[in-house]
Amino acid sequence: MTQTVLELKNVSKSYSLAPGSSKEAQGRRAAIDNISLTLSAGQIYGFAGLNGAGKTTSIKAALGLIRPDCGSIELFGEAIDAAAFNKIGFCPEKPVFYETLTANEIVDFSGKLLGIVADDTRKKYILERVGLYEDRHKRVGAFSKGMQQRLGIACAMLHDPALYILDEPASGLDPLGRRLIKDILKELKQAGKTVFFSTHIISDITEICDKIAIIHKGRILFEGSVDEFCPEHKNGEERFVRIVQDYDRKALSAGAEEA
Amino acid sequence: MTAKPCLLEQKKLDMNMNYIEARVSCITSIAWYSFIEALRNRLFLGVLLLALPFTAAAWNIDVYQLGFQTKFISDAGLTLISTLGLLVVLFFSLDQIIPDIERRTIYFIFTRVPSRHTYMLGRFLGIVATLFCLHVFMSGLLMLIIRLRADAWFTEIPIAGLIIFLKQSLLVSIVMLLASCTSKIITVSLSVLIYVIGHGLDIFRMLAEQSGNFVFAFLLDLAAIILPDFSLYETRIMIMHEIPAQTSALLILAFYTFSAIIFYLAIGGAVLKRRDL
Amino acid sequence: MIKQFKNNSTGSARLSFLLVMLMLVMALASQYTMKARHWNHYYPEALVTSLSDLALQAIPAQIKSFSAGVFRITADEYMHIGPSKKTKQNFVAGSFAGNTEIMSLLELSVILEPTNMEMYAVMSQNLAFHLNRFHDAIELLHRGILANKRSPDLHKLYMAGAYCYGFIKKPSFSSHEEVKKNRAIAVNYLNAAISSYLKNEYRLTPTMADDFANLQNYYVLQSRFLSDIGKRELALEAWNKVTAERQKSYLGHFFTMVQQKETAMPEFPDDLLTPEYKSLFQVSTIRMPYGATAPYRFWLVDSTNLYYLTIYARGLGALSLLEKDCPQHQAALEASETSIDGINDPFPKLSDCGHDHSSENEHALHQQQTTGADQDQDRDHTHISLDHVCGPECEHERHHENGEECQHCASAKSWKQAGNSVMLQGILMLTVAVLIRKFF
Repeated sequence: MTQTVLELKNVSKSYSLAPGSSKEAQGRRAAIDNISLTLSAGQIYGFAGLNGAGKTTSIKAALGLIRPDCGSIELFGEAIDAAAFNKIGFCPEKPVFYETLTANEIVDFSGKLLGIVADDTRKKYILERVGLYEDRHKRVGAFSKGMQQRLGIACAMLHDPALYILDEPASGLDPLGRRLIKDILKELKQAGKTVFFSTHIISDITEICDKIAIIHKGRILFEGSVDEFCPEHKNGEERFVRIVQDYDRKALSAGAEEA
Repeated sequence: MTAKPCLLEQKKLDMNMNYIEARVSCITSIAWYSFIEALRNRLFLGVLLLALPFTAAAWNIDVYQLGFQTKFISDAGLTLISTLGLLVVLFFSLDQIIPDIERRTIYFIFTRVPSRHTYMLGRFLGIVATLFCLHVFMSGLLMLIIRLRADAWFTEIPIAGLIIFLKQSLLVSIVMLLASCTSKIITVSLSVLIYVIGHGLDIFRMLAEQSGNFVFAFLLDLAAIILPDFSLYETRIMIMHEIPAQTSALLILAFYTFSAIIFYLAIGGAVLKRRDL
Repeated sequence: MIKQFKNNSTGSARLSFLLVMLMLVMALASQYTMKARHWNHYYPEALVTSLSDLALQAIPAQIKSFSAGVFRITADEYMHIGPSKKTKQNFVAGSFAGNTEIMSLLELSVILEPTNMEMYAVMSQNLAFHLNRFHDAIELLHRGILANKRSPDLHKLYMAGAYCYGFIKKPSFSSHEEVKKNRAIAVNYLNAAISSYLKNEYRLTPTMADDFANLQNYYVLQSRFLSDIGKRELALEAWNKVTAERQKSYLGHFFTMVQQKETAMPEFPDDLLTPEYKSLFQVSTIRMPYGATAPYRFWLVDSTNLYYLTIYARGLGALSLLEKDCPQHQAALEASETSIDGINDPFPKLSDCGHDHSSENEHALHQQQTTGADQDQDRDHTHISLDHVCGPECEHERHHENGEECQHCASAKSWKQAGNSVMLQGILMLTVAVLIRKFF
């Protein structure tokens, strides 16, 4: 039986709106609404959605960075606890590091936080893999956005975790950078790692993933295999747009009926 | 396909550590990199450079060539150490938690460390290490200046430096507590307010008792339990009269500082734990 | 709807709060600016000679005045603390005389607030009489005179000049020619002081009155100096302006002799005092020059050291002197040195010789009055506490040792008392921290 690595059950989270917002009268807005996801070991899971759909909030909830209003989250069959972080490699969207530290120090720091001492061979391998070995003594403040993104991936890979959670890993990267990330994801897949990554580039998902979930306005509209989503892995973007537009149309008509 | 157990992965890399070692490694690494970060910050260099003209002034302040004024130099020097330390406390403590949350660098740590208390403690130790370097440098310089000019070792100065260091470490913990739950401007305002009230708490209490306002006196008594009593760290009489501080009082003071720091950091950690990031 | 109303009301409350804060800040700022301008108008600082002066002008007068006040207070504190032992300074605690520590502070004070006449006077007298810098003293006074040309208090500076010139050379120690030359200059300063005083008399308010720099004293000094330089007719003329009450003095006696044209007249009025001086110099014990020391928080320092400090601060002189002078005192000191918990009174009441020989009896009486529990408590406290600097308002001299409350020295605790409360608070905080860590 396949082991469940990550499971979100009926998780909801709402935020109070900032003062001055046009929807201020409503008080709170649901960022994610009753979402459920299941991620099995060895899967590459694509989490697709428009900007502001609730992808990052879901990931934050999965990592325990925010406390959901309701629902349960399980990592490796248990509630999130301190030990779980050793099994997760996380790279946030637009990773930001301490600017005065060098890439080498950041990797070291990352290792020490996880309670491991990465030797030079491991560090060299990781930094070479993301193409930053030559720049390892440069301060992160001097890094471009793409370099920081690659450094984020390197830190996530350092302790060779079982589960990778990557929040839009290819955002803001040039074509070469995107190719690099895709290659890394494919390697992880071959190595039998579980990867959960969010993106709004559907072609990336159809190319690499085994499973896809579509989130829109905080709700999961689709969850299934990529084959199910778009047979022969073609026209994925059109299918995505159709699902999202159908939902919006239904919601609009439902709203009109209520009024 | 099943995922390999994580511990096996780590053993493969030969990187295993036991729980306590891992926790200590977390705290020390956060502290160490906070310290490195602070040392590389231009602001710290600026603070040190600011000390130099004042140090030079120790030679030139005397307009009537009446000789080196030890009392004045030691008093002014310790005030300067205290003031520069305060600048470091305010700027560097503020530069820890709030920008980490704003710039999301905190994700880097919180997806790796076992608890948010660890983060608080690590960050605190980083600032304290910076502060310690500043105090060692400045107190040493002051003692050296006095030794060179007045031809006498003023051992009270490093002791006073230590007491100021303890006081400011306590203030760091308060700033970090406030930073974990409020914005920058509120943190600065409240820190300064607590610092001022903490220095005059006993005087305020005395005035309240004298005025006969029991409610006010009770509130101040209550505040005295929760707020730090900075008036305990008074070094002036020791320095001005050249009499040594007694070890037992210093030990009690160190214990009090330690307890108060743990108290404020624990509250800060608890607040941070409940905060959505 | 209710929610919307609530949100709206919160928003408007926030806005009105900000508005109130803004208005408060504006009101304070305008009040402050007006006051600062008024201050500048009242004491126009005449000289703007350099860039630093211009920069100083840009700082609001109240801030400068405040900073100058801080420097003055610090100087005063240094004056009371006494000299640095390690650097072997030798000025006397409780006097500005010869205290070099205060000079830098007073100079800063004068730079920041050039209108404070007392500071010029203190500095000039210190420079001229104790630090062998007579010319610097006069230069400083001239600086002050130039900066305060329009001030109604200008006469004080002329007076300070007259004082420096008048007393820098004394007939007992210098050649008479030198004394006469200096006193002739002093007379000029006094004339300037008197004319400045009379010119600005209508501007002088009662709060500006000075015990020393007043018209009556000017006439007294003028008559004395005029007499010293041989202008006895003019001196007599000045003396007649002095009130009858002030005329009752050795100087009055001297001028009576002048009026009566006695043949055996001394050259200087001071010569009449020679026998008095002789007897005065035979007195060896210096009495307490000032009152209680400030109630510092002193729990950090050892009470034994504090004891020495307090002896010093009370003007009893060096400990070695006390020991030499009084064997009984020495015994008490030894007892207190060996045991902090000792019951000997380290601060007995002073007898005429400056020492006490009856403290043991008083102490025994007090001990009889206290209960057994009190006695136990007594031993827990250091006997060197602030009760001896509290002053006469304390009902029981040893009330701190008995743990009694005392309003006027409520902040004064023995280090053990302070230490216990600090320890207790520390333990409480640590316990709460552990609980927070465990349950939150």
